[in-house]
Amino acid sequence: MAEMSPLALQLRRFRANRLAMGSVVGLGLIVLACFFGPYAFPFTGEDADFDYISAPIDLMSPHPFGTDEFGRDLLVRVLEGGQVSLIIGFLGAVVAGGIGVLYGAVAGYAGGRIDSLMMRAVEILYGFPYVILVILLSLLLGGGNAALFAAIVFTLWLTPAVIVRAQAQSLAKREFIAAAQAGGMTSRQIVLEHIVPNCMGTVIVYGSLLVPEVILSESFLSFLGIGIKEPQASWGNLIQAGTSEMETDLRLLLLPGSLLALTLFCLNFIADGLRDALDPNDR
Amino acid sequence: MPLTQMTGNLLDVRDLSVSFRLAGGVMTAVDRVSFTVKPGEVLGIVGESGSGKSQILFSLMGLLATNGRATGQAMLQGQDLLALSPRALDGVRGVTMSMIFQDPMTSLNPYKRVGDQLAEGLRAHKGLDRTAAWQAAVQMLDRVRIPDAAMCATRYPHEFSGGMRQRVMIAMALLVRPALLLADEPTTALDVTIQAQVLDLMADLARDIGTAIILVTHDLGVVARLCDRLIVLYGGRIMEEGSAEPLFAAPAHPYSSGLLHATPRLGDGLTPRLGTIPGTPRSGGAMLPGCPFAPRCTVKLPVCDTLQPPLTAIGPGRAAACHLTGAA
Repeated sequence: MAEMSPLALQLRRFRANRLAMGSVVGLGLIVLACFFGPYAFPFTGEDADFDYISAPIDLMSPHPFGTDEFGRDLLVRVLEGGQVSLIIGFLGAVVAGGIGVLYGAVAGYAGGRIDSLMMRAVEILYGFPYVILVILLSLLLGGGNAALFAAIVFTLWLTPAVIVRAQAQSLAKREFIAAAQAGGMTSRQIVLEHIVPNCMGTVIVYGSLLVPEVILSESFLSFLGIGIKEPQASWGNLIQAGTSEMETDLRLLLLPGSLLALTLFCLNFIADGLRDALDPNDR
Repeated sequence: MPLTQMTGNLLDVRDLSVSFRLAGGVMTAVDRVSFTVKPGEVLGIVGESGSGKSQILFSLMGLLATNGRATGQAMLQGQDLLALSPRALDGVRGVTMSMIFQDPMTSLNPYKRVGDQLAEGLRAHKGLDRTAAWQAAVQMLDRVRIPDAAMCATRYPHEFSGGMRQRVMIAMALLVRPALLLADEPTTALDVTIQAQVLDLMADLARDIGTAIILVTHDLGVVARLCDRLIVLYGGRIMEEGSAEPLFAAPAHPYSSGLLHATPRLGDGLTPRLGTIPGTPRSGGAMLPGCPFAPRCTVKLPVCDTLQPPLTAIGPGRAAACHLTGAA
């Protein structure tokens, strides 16, 4: 069994987990549908079809899942909304995770006063009420998708920073770090080449939990009306639009809602599988 | 290296003290220790656990714990290691001196290929490119007798046995051809059967490259095998120093002879009981006013409790810190 890195061994354990692998397939299908599905229709999610306003589900019609009150195709809108939610979810998790990992690794490795200062700063940011912070940030950045993204990243990098810092702290006391210092590696090289790679297991697990968290907070903010704005669709604002009609027409709520729930289920099962595969205490 | 040639010493340590700030006050681990290392020489530092022998190495390497402080002077090729800035120290560590640690199981980064870890130092300090550094790493693995070095270099540390890992550490330490190698009990974590093999390998390679070694150990057998010169450390102070053979033949300090009697020798037969030194080693606390070994010494004089015996020459290249030998 030559040339298996610890990470490769862990991924092999992950592949043996059926539920997690099923979720990977499921998530892959959702992603494919969201990004390529809309091309199967001759119209976009923003085109209104005045012949079919608030049309019900009719698989034989041009709008198989019906339309909303403006005659826009619901299925296409949900798929296009999925693009936005998924992009924000994954990009947000990567950016927030990346910032958090670097910040935590530096704090944990440096220790002492630098560590105290950096972590107190994190705790202060933790103290801010989330929604108010988002509203302030979107005011500051002039609203729009960029402001939403910045607000999400700004609030979600804190937890990975704390997690990685704890890891880095214990790694900094390991002998191979002393060996790297004795080999004349600079602090920068040690953080990037020794601390960060050794935190990867935890980071992957946490990152896979971060994706649904970001999607959920995007949906939550859009639901409150401070996220993605009409006419652009996202799962959050589609669900919000659906709730206003739920007493007469549940379908507007159920389609985006169930797709969001399915995605979150898949991501959580994947996160679970990754944790089982990567956590050395759980073997 | 004009300065080294002038004094003939590679490393000149003077009045090195290491102390730690603790909750209850200051603990002195090493107390005004002075010694020299000549180019290519193997110096052994022996002592029990807690005698401060590892802390000497850590202070030279700038790796003391954050609450530790080293004072004195340690001149390596004209530079005082204790006064260097962290940046300047990075230019010395892994270039003119390197270190081998006690436990090979934790001294390698589990997430990096062995070859990459070896090549890392060469790329950082010698400016070699990736392929050249990799080739040099593979060559060095071959020299420490890792079978099929080219293939092993692509493997990860968890696929290596303890002995192999310590050989990798030796390769890593000597790859940059340092002038000085600090070895901190390099074989304690290994099987007895391969200890000798690993030590001989380290000494042979160092001799080929012309590297001097400071070997810290509590194993007198190891010292007898490899060292040119010997320092016996107790309670952070030098008890005795001298060339290995005369010191073994006739230890001058009661602690050295106690240590020797506690070591089994081939040919003694099975009947004689191994000697022991009564009492337990000093653990922390303030320095005693007298000889640190006095509370355990079997030939103690009244003066030993009150006056610290100075390290005095007792022969060519030999010195001991004992009132008994000093008076004679």
